[in-house]
Amino acid sequence: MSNLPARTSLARLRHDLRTPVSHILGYVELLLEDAREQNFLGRIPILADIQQGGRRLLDAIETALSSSEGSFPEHLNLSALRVQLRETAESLLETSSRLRRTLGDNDTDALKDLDVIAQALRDLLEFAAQEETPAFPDTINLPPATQVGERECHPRGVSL
Amino acid sequence: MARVLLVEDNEMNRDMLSRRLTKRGFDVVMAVDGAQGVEMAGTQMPDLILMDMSLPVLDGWDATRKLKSADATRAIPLIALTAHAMAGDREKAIEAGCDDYDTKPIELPRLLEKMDRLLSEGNGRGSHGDQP
Repeated sequence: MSNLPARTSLARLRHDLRTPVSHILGYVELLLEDAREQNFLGRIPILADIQQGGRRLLDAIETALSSSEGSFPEHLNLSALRVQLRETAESLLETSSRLRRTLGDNDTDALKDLDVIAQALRDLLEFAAQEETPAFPDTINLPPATQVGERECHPRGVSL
Repeated sequence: MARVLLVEDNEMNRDMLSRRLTKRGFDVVMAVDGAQGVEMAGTQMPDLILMDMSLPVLDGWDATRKLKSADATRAIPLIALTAHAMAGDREKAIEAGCDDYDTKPIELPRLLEKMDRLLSEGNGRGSHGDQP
């Protein structure tokens, strides 16, 4: 038994929130690898802070939007998630600004990677600041469960 | 050097993953949608494919089905990647023909382990030699 509209809404929201977190974690890991290889040891603790913050963001999303096949809540309350995302993303933006000030102007590769992280954080802040929109309502009302066949649960048009 | 075809429409994800794989000795070629992925799988003959499932033009599901139904590309191991990460998705990816499944954000050690396993199983089949 599954609920296709609910599953699709939840999947889309998870995708839209996990994608910027994916950018944060991926690029901070790239920067950490570079810092270790190039012996920029002073950057490592700051980057590790950003990495830990990225993991906190992911945990918050997972906790708020956890799913189990065939079992969906009647609605999702996103207000607590918005608060968590805002607090963590604001803190990480400050941390990334602090790191930026330690980089030289000619360290263009690191600056570009840091820009991607900052943009991803701003994307999360934008979500957190939205009171209620059709795309990201504060509460998602999920339609009542309907019984559909397994094939209908993942038609060819539905993507992950 | 193993050749990996990364099919990913998100520029940042493409840049990030290709750089990390290149640093580890993979030869990474990239496609930005499912149709281009199918085409490049035929022309580049990669040793392994990393397929995002949410793609424009042709989505990852249909691209996987095409690749797995064509004689020339059927044997190329394919790992599905998705940021949705919903319960049951792994089983559905395997059902669609994917050889394995992983979620985004990518945990690189976990993904590399899956890639190594599939590349080891396929040693001698690919045209680009052993693993990096």
